[in-house]
Amino acid sequence: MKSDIAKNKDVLAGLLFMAMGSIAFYISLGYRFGTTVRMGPGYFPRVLSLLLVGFGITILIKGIRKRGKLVSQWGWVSVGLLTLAMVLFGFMIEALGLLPALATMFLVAAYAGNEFRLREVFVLTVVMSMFAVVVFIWGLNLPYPLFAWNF
Amino acid sequence: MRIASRILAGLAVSVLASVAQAQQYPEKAIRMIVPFPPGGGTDVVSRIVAAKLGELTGWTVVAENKPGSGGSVGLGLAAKAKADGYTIVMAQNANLVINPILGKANYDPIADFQPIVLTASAPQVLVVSKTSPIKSIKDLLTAAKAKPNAIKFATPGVGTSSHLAGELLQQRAEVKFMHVPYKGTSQAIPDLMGGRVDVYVASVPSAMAHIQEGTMRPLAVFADRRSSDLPDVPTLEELGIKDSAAVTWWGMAAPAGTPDAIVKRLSTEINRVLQLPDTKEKLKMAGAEAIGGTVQEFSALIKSDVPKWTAVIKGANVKSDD
Amino acid sequence: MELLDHFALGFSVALTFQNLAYCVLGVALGTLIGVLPGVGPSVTISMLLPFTFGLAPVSALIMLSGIYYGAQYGGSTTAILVNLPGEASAAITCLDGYQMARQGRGGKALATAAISSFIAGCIGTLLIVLLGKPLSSWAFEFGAPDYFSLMVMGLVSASVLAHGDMLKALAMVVIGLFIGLVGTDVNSGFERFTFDLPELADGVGFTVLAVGIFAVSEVAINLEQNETRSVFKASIAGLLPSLADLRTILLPALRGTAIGAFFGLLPGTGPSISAFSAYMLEKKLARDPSRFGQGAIEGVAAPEAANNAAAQTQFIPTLTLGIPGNATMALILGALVMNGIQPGPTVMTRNPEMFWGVVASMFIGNALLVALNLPLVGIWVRLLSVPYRWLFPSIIMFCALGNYSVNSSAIDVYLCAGIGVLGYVLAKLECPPAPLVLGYVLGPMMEENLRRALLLAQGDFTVFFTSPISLGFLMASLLLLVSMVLPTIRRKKAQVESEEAGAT
Repeated sequence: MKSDIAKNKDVLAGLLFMAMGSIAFYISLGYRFGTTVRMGPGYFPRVLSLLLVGFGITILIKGIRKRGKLVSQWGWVSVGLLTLAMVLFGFMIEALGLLPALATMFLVAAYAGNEFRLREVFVLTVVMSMFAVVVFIWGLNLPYPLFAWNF
Repeated sequence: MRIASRILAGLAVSVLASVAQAQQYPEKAIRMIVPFPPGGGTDVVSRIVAAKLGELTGWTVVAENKPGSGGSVGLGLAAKAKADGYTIVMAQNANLVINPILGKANYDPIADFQPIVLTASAPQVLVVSKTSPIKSIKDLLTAAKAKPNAIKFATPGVGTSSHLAGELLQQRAEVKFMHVPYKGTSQAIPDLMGGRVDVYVASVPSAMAHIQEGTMRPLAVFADRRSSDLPDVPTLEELGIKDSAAVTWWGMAAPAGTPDAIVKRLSTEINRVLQLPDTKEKLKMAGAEAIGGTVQEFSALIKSDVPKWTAVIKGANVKSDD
Repeated sequence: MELLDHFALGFSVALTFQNLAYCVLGVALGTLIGVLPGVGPSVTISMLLPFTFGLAPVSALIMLSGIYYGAQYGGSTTAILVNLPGEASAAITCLDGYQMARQGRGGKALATAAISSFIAGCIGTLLIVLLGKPLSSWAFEFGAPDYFSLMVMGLVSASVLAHGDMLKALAMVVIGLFIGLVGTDVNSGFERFTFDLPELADGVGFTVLAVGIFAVSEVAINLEQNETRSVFKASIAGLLPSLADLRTILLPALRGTAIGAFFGLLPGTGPSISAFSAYMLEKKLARDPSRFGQGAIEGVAAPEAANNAAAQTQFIPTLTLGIPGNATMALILGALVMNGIQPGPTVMTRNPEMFWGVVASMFIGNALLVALNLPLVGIWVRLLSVPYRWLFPSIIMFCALGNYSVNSSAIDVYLCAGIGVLGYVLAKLECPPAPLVLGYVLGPMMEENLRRALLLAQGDFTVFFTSPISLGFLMASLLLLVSMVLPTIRRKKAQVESEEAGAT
């Protein structure tokens, strides 16, 4: 029973909105509120964050009362790998250049899939990297080095 | 043995390289950081200079947009870049001098940069709508003195050159306007024309079309001398407001510590570029005037601008959270 | 017939071999960069700007404007195929276009987008010709209170974006408003929610948000479903829309055109807001709104028409007033000035060849774009038969590289990944992404104009009612609210009555 509540879509969404609203409210306490006539930079954020917390509470209550749909299995591993692939790309394109960044990204991203066949990933990396170089570097003249060493 | 000889060879190469550095420079593409998004005034000025520099010298000069935070992102990157002469940046007074004063940048205009050359400058002009009852600077100041905070003064943003020029005028003439900041010009100009705000400070090129059409009336330019585009418009100086020049300038800079020989080389070549009639023409069309000059002159300009704008910004409490 | 003379002049300029070639080059390049996420017309135009110095001004402008409106055609392609908006203005096309692709109707969706864009492009251009001058000064009438009330109307209608749970949709709007607040506050120069990162001082980019929330999270959702090979049904429904389809899309496309034309004229608003508004209007008007979000063809036709119409009418304030509505228009304005042409009300009489030549080239360009895009549909659709395990890493590549190319900033790529995770979580909790994106688009303009309106009126709230334009928008918002609340009340009442009846 308890685990049902922890998997309830509305309950989780409500909690998420409440958390986001509270954090935003806390941050916006650092911004001057002002008056309604001369609003400070904190006016809008604070009103909005209270609104968000309010929505969160309502959705949470609704979730507890109605026992709505349950969330399916979370796929954190693939989400994590996709995120990691993008982060590595962002880091490596500046540190090592475009091609190492693309190769690493493809390897990590492909691992997030359900089937991982190394040979296919290799071919895919080569083909798509060539495509990226032709379109972005030659075609659009974007000034990114193919290889670099910036440490 | 093999290793030792390799090390020796490596050492020899590197010694030779440093000797030959200035002669051989550049061995690879020079990255010119443009601290604004594509399409703005800085971008256009940078691309003109980059293209002409490439044409004239045969070097590969790559303009790279690194926008953000009114230019602070791009300049911050340049300040931290390797001082090997392969990273230069098109700085502007607003980001090199003013952003650090406003606390919007994590670099020091003097300690972190090696000036190369003052590239171009553009005057700013104070305009009103053609239907405005304000006909002259005198009218404006009289009205402002009679009722402080009543003149609605529009700018394209807090801390922009336009805003600071307006603050400078208010301090020198001892008046107070109501500051109405916008996000760029696209809504500010319609509001000026529609009579919802009273005055606007614009760069000459951005206001030129409206001045020619007669929809905007220029009252004065913020410069030491009249603008060649607007020869009939007086300077504030002429109208008796002392020390009121507020031009926008662009200058090429490199990270501090860039070898002198390379700085000199770059300065010489860019000066040659700026002397080309074609460059002058293109810059003029983009609303800027090619300047040029020595490394020392540019350095002196930065050193005199810092205290001047510090005083204006402190006096006006520009970045209030109000 | 003065107008015919002008057209004759315009086409005589636009149909020279050289100008035709630049027109082809412009629209082809526009389509390409439209398809690529991140890389947009402003980057491309600024790269090309130095090369246009050597051209005749009219050729330069023909090419540059071709890039701009061509990008609106291309932007929908990846949005439909893989939920990856190629341009910000195509974000809303993801909602129904991508669903159509999943149902095997991708070809139809792409063709619908191209045809609607063509209709809108031609009408938009015609509007430049007929109404350019009278309409342009209309922008002067729009003050801060009017913008604010317009945004209020947009937010009120946002609730129709919700599929199902209204509360969640509203909460998503608020989150979108927050993401829009990130960056430097216009009124004070104060930085909010930037965590001291200078890269965030200008806010979260639209591409970062749209790509993260639509494309990255969609890949994540697809991967966990373990049956990734059947993400797309085989294309069975035919590539081109049937006559019945065409009849269905005609009215939505025309309504979208009208909305786009309106927003194109207003400085600061543009293709994105137009696409959203057109979509919301169609859903409001639809007999069965529940089809939207499930692959409704009108949900592709209306926003695609709207963003193209806006892309065309944005030229009106730029050319005739010298007021650029967005960054790309500022570039085109700059290109004009650098080529020695001073934009302004008299541009039509002072540079008739330039003005009418460019206008004529827009008709030609739109025709070329349809001719270019319709045959491409077949090729694009074949892309869907590529196994998903090859497709998804490539999607991630375009997300990462595309976002990097906007500002050459790794932070943008990290942010996009982070927003992708947020989008994944929200999608798992059945929170619709579209209201969030709308909140993001409208929020900053709403706050900016609210505060400016009150500043200019010295705190007098009545300005929102004394300006007739503002009053009109507020009344319309009220009507919308009533029309949304009434059916719910009626339903509740009916429910209560039937329960009572049952009890007795």
